[in-house]
Amino acid sequence: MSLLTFENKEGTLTLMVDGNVLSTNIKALREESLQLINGEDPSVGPWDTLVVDVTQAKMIDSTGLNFLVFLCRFVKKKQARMGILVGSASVQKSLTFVRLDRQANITLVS
Amino acid sequence: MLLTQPSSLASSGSPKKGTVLLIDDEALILESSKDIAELLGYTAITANSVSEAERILTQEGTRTFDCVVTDYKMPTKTGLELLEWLRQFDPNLSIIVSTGYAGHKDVASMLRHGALDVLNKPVPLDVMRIALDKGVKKTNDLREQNKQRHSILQVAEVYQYLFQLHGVIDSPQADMCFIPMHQAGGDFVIMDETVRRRLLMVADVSGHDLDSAYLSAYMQGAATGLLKGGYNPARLLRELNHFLLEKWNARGFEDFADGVNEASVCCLLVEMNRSTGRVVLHNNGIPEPVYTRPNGRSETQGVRGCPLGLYDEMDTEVMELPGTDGEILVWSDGLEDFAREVQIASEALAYRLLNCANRDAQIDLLKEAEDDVLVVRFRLKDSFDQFRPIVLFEAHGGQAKDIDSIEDFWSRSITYALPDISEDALYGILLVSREGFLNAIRHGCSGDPEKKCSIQMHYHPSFSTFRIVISDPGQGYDDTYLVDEEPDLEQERNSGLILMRNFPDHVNIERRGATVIMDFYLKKPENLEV
Repeated sequence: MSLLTFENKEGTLTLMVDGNVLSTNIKALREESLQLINGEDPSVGPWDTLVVDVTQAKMIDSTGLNFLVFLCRFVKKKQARMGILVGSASVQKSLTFVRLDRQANITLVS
Repeated sequence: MLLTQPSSLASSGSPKKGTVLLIDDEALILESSKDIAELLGYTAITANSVSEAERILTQEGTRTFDCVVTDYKMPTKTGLELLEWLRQFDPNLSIIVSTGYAGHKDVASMLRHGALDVLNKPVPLDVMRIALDKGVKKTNDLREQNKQRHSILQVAEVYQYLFQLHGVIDSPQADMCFIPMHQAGGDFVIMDETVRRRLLMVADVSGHDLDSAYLSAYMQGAATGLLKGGYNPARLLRELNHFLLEKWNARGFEDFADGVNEASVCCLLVEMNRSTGRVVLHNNGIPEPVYTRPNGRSETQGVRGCPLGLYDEMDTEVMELPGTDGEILVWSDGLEDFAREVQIASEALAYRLLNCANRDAQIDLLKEAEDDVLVVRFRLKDSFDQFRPIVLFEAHGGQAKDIDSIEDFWSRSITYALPDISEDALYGILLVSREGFLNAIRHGCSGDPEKKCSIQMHYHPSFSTFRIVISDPGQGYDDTYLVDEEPDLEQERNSGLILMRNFPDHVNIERRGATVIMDFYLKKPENLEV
């Protein structure tokens, strides 16, 4: 079962994560994401902005944060931009603790 | 017209099988029914109308009769109206309706209103025999059950009195919750205090019937008397074991219909020497008590030992408590079973029960419980508040894969114990617990299923502080890892430590990080009551 859905609208690729981002599902999530962002899937199309939508995540643990950091580094190498949509102040707090707010635009969607 | 006068009841001999009231407006059928009932061994009283039947039942009392057989269709009032009228006064008295006219709807209506059976007229002898036997038996069974229920309520009153008598309710030394499954049960608690020692006795008598309740009441009295007479715990336990084996279990219980032939008693005695503060536990079958130090560290004490009443040779687990202050939490099997049923930690259930505003709230929480539930919190010193356990959990090094279900268990337990905890606080607690516990499993236990690590969650109600202590058997590593200021984004692996450093209000480490203590200062909930 897929953990991700995506949408590419005028070069803004949005990855929508369905649920928590935790050590127990991170491997599959990482593989699915890589296939979408590294050009392996022709249906994705070109993009210059990556938005990761984790509004459905009630919890993101350290491996989940590491995964977001990995995406930030990937996007930076590609010289693209990145945004993260979160669904709770607590999740936003976690991202801020690991300074992801300095790497990407974080938006709290209430 | 009344064919047989009710006054004849007083002068007639004892009925062989019971007394029935027969109602029909047709004299010949009524007379024939009477003959059949008497032939079948019943005393039969007759009435030719519902009004007449109501008068007889009112005058003689419904308990004079063991069954009522009424015609359905009669002038002025029907058998259904009699049924409705009688249900108000005696729901236990069986009513059988006989009819030659009723359709399916009428029959359904009569059964819905509590008719035991609906018979087609004319009623053959064998059908009447089966119906009357069944009706009389049902009435007697219901009356017997009612009588037992009444007795149980009386025993329950005695129970409450005994608890008060033995100084447990309202004692400043203890908090207690006891909710028996059937108003009265087999669990009991005694507190006894002399100049030299303070003693707590917690016991759980097997079974849930009146027999257990009577044995429990007897043992409470016997134990109290023996303690007042100077018996020490070991001698008291020997005496109770002897009584159970040689007296109680030697009765002819095998004759009992329910097959009960053995009684056993689980029993824990906590004895504190008041001059030295030394505390010794004597356990015969009670779940291992939890000893909690004031600083929020808990230890499960010893093993259960064997219940009393089973063997001549007693297998009592005796051990000394490794401290002289703090609290002991003791519960009976029923609490563990119910906690397992609702998938929370026993400590969380105990905390919530002991925090309930009143007994009704406790009963409401335990309405699905299938056993008596008893929990007692006993203070070793005269202090009222300290850290109290919410979750005490152990895992082995191979359980990293189970972390999601483990976290769910913590979450359910915390929200059960502290229903008013904020979502933000819960998020932080669960996140750092997960991070710390995964570190303990992966690094402290090196993923080895033979090694164990633990997490303890305690709450201090006065300070509104939630304390998490995670310990593993490893050597720890860099003492400074929790005071590192700048996260290194190129080093993905330190994110968990950053979360553990930043989410709690206070963090401390011991044993070079093999034990991590994290405190969350929760805003004091306005209402912790159920």
